[in-house]
Amino acid sequence: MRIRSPSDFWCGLLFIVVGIAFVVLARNYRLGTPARMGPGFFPTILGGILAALGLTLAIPALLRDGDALAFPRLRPIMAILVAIMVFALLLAPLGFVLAAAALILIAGLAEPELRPLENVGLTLFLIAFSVVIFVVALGLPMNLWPDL
Amino acid sequence: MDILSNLALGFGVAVTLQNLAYCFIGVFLGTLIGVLPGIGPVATVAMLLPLTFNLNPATAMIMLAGIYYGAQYGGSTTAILVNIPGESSSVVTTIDGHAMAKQGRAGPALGIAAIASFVAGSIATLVVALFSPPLAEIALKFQPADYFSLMVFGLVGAVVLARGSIRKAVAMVVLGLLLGLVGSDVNSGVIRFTFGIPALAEGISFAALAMGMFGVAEVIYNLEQRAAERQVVVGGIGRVMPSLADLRQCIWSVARGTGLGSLLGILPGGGALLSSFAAYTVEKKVARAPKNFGDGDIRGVAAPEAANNAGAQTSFIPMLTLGVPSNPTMALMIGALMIQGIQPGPQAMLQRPELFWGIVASMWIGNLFLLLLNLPLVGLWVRLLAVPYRLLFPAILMFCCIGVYSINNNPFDLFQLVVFSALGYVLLKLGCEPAPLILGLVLGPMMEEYLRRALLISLGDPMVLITSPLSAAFLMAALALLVSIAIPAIRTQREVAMKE
Repeated sequence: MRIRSPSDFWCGLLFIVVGIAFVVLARNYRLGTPARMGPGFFPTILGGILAALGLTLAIPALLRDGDALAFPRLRPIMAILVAIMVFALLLAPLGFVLAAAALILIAGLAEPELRPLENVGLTLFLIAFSVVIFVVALGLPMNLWPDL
Repeated sequence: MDILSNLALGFGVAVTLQNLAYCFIGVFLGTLIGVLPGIGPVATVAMLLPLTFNLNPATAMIMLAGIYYGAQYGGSTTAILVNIPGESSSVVTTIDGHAMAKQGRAGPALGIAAIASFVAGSIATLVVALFSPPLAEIALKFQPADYFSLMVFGLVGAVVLARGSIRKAVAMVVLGLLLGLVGSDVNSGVIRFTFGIPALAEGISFAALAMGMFGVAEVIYNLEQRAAERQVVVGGIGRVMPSLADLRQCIWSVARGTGLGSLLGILPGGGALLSSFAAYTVEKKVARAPKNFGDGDIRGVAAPEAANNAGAQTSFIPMLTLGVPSNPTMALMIGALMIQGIQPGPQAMLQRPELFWGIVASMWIGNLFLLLLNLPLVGLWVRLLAVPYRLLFPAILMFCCIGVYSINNNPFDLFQLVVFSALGYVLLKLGCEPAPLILGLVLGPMMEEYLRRALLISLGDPMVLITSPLSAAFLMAALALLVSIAIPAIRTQREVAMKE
């Protein structure tokens, strides 16, 4: 069997998997009756609907030609997601200034055209801008430096 | 006159030095972030939401309204100068707006956009003031079944307006409803789908999801495409103030746009997007000498800009009177009100008139600031647009992170941001629009609750959804919408409209 419409096929498959996952997980909760719906009732129905919709996408995708799917470029995805994760991990222990520096320097790796020196300058500028606007002017409670 | 005394009450609440200052900051920051390419009002409002948490409810709403209008106008600026719409509702503005910019008439294009928005916003604000109170009276009589069917109708509206495959849009709504159920169940207190993570007990962070899907996922997607070079019109903005002849030519376009936008904005799933598309299409049919449309006709900027602003105003009506959001931005506004301890809906509206009328007054003030701020500051936005994307995307990322974190001051929300950015990117890649998912997320718990109550009253008989006349009418309308897009002729037309 050949996948003739990869975009629809993988999309459908994703919805099938997620729908079934919700139905299975909802088995941990009481189903109840229509008159007295338990916490499992609504998610079970919706999960079923989602899986069914997934099928209506995935099956025709085997029969009819459709949109292709380009393989994702991993560099921007990884750089951006890792940058946010590092920011989340460093914010509490090291404070905003250092965490933000890590965020911007790592995110900069996503775009090869961004020169290292530019990235450093941008980092300094954005930290100064954010501190002035968000912390000084608008008073968001954030530690700027590590608690020593 | 009742409405005059009510408006006086509203202006009494809204016009204080502090409120005006926050409105001004809101419009400024909203435009600043909205101008950034690829950042629409949803991401902008989500990003700046935390700034309003420490304010009192009226001031917070005034600032948010300012942010919203600012973001919308910022999107139009980007559309005219760069030919990249900041968001879907300014797509049509790119057609004639960018053509004008290429002819060296970017100034008048930006000017008429601001003026048309202001005129339309002022009129639509009156519409909100006139129609909300009677609608709230009616809404008080709604039964749970009616609310459930109203939400079904709203979600179907969102599906019909989403671009691309309809099956994918429906699936996105259902996925959104499911994600909305994560957290503790109001009725039984059971904590669902949290995988034992305590921070998820209060549900998925709406801001993290909105910013992941509309902000970060978009950044990743743009970086991946990156080939698409932007052509910024930098030199020769020209005089911003349109000439008298320009203005005279636009009067009726603005009037038609305002009327259409006010009407369509009320519909669930409607709001700014549908309004601007419809206004442009109508204008092409109705206007005198329509052959210039597409080549920089100023009326092709005035009409959709008037319509999208009018639609943006009147989409507040279902939110304020029924507590039901008609688009993702309104969903965020509901979130903001709930953080302030106010559950929007007919009760809140009739019991706290000062808040409702304060919001109405602040809408008008927000529109006024938009005009006053943007005509002189156009040059600044132009220079901001000339900054290359490689320097802009880290800034977008930074603002997203600060916004998500400062809602709860909890780093866990940033991990949610990572998850939803990844999910948003995958879904974008698979051709799924995020807007229906976000609406589903907000409506999920409400729909479950109303269905539960409806079936409890009817002793489990689902026929209650049809025997109640209001509920039946909403379901019929939803069905009619679905059928209408299934009919091939209309379907083709929809695809053509979406392409334009």
